[in-house]
Order: sequence, then C-alpha cells, then structure tokens
Amino acid sequence: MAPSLTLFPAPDKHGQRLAQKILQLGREVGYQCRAETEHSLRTGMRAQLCDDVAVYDLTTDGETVGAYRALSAFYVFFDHVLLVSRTPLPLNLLPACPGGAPPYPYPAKRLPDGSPVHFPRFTIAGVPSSAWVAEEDHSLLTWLQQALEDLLVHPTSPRLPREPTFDPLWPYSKELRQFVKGLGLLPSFRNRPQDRVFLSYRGRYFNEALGLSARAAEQGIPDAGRKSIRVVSPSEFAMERELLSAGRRWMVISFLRNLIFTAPEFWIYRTQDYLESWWTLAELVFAGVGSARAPRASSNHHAYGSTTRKPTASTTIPGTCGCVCASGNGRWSRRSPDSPHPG
Amino acid sequence: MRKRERTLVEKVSGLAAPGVSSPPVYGPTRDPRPKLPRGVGGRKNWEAFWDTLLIDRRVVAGTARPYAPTVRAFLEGLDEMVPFDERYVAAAVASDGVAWARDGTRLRVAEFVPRLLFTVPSSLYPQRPVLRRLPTYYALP
Repeated sequence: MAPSLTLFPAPDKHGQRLAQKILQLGREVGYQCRAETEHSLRTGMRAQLCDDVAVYDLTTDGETVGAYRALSAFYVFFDHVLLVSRTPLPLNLLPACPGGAPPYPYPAKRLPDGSPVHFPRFTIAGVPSSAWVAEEDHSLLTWLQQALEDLLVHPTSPRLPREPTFDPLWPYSKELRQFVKGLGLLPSFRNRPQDRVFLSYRGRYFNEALGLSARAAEQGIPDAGRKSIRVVSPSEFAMERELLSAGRRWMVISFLRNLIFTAPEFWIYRTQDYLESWWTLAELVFAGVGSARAPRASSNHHAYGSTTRKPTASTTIPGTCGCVCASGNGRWSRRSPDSPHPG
Repeated sequence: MRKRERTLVEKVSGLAAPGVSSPPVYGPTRDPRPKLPRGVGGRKNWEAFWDTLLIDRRVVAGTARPYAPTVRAFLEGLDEMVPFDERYVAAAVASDGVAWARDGTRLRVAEFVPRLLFTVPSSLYPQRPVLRRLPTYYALP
C-alpha cells in the first residue's frame, strides 16, 4: 500500500492551484494523496500523528489564517510534517525540515537605509542557492520533491492508527497520551550531520564568512578538514539596526542556541570588532553554556557532541582573521590572527 | 562559567523559545505565568518583556567599544540598551520618523516588512488569534 500524504492547502485560488501541483507531485513520487480542506486542530493532529506525510501550505497575507488553524504543536517533533509557503513563515515557527519557504524579508532586496539584504544561503535538492525562485513555484516544489523522496526512502517515525481519531474523545485517549509521552528529541536537534560547524562572526563580514564556508566544504581547512559551516545571515533572525523587545531578543537567542548546541564545533571568525556586538557576545555566551553542559567523562568528546577532536582543540585558519574553537573547560582559547584584518 | 549564570541564561531563553506560541500561552490548568527573572527598561513585567523595544547604544551612537566576554556583560548589555515604548515608535513612524527614548536619546526610525508571530491553535479557545502581524522598526543611521 502506498504511503499516505495529507495536504492542507492555502484557502484562496492561488492556494488551490498550488495544491493541484503538490498533489500531482506527491502522486508522481509515490504517495497516496488527499487534500484536507477542514482546517481544524483535529484534522491537523490526525494528519501529523497518523499519515506518513503531512504538507501544510502556510502562504498568507498576514490576515488569512488558513492551514495555520490545523498546525498542531506536535509539528516540531516530526520531520514528516513539511511546511511550505510562498511567503516567509512566522518568525517563531520551528520546522523540523526548514527550507520550504522564502526567507525573511523576501521579496524585499533593500533595507530601509538602502543597504542590500543578505539572504541566507540554502540548498535545494542538493544545489546551493542564494535566491528564492518564485516563478512556477520552482524553489518550493523542488524542495518539496526532495523532501518527499527522502521520506519515502528513509524509515519514518511510528504512527497511530487513523480510525480511532474519529472518536470525539480521541485527544484524551490513553494511546495518544502514551504516544506523546514517547516523543523524543526534536528532529531539529537529532538530524544534524556531525561535521557541522557554527560560525560566529560580525554581520558586516557576511561575504567573507560565506567564502570561508565554501572553502571549508569544498577543499577543507588545514587542521580541521572538510566541514559544513552554518552561516546565519544578517537578516535571518534579526537585523542589527532593528528595534527588538527583550522577548524577541531571547527568542533569536533560542534559535542561535539550538544551532550552537547541535553543532559539534563552534568557530569564531575573529575580527577586531568581534566583541562590539551584543549578538556575537550572545553566541559566545551560549557556546560557553553548551560547553559547560557537555559531558566530560570521555576525553574524545568535543564540547557539543561526538567528535574525534579533543575538547580543548582550537584552530586558527590561515587566510582568515583566525578562528577559535570553543574549549571544553568553559574557557576560551585565543590565538593571534594569521593574516591581516579583512576590513 | 558559574552554574548560577548558566541557569539564568538558559531559563530566560526558555521563556521565549521558538516553535510554540510567542508570547507563550499558559492554559487554565497551568500555574499563572512564571516570574520574570530580570526587568526590562526599568520594569519587571511581561508586558515590558514583549513590548519595550530595545536597541544597543553602540549601534545608535556608532561607537566602537567592545563588550567583556562574560555572561555578566551579556546580561548587563541588555539592561544598558535604549528602551523605546512601542506605541511611541509607531506614532513616530506615522509622523516625522523621529522617536525619543525616556532618557532623551533621539532615533530616526523607519518601518520595514512586518514579521508574523504564530500562536498554537487551541480547541479550548477556538477564537484565539493564530497569527499576529508584528511591525518591524529599523533605526536609520
């Protein structure tokens, strides 16, 4: 029997058109597809907990709620819940598989002071890209196709039977409570490759950080090898000149914390102005928190995960201003830069 | 890093964790909202935590003064930021674009693409808004 896919379409005519494309794509990949137009918590839970894949089209003008009404809080636990949108997603959404929507502030290309928006680099179907292609929903559908193919191949998490979900008391049933109790680590923590590095840098050196990232992925870095470097773009979570509440600041820090804690290594793109930003200081603090939390029983465990490198390893990267790895003892190893300041 | 410092920063970041509702929604069976560990802009309440807009003095003044690489400097850095009442900033954007902080700091602001905030739907409160549009205010040089 073909695996099941439930789609929650956006409720306008553009949403209906996209729904047709998504359903067709799902069938081509090998799913048995249905569109669910009742946007309720019950239908959302049914799709997330019982179906092999749940796809939400969360496109909105900010007023239309649509499929958000069916987005049960369990979505953060499941990598088979795929969130797609033609518009940027709400800033506090945490999809297990990110990439199905354009990044904020798409489609704006300039900030109010005229400076260019630096969009985050992302990969669609294995191809690095820095531009979201909206024509014919190209980026959205390419990302979705890849995600659907991956979910078809890889084993999926356990599901509940669909029939009991029609019982009015199902949300309070023992089976559901036990299932929820058994939910483990968030996939956003679980499915990170071990060669990941979180790069802490000042936003004005975004291009240099991208250059370093490309070099690390393609050629490798002396003494560090090939790495997948996560470069947070200057507008991805917050802009330096943005007025933000303390709540928003801590929310951004929570995002950064997730990224830092799930990366086995933390590198600093060290520049003279590195410590002049509260954001880079926040990253440094949370790298220290992660370092202090890490188990110290085994000496071949790095501060943030399993690695063959010793916890106190530090790396200076020739050709950059110097990168320093977090030390496992909660202190910071410092090295003199190998090359002049890039700015 | 002291355990107390570590616990504090972890606790506060947990209060604004992404993925669920922001601000968090506390149901009828839960205790009232947890106590806020630190004040914002001289006020220690949840409204101030979510509605007082902050900007780093270093960004406003364009000064190059490094922070000490300590947890204390990180937390004090938040305390030292310039607080703006969100309503005054909105009014400034609608008029001449100049916002004034209580301490007399003057800032030229512009509105940018708004962001959205998601609140998890609830079967107990079906009328509760699920999406909220959040204006984005940007400090002009």
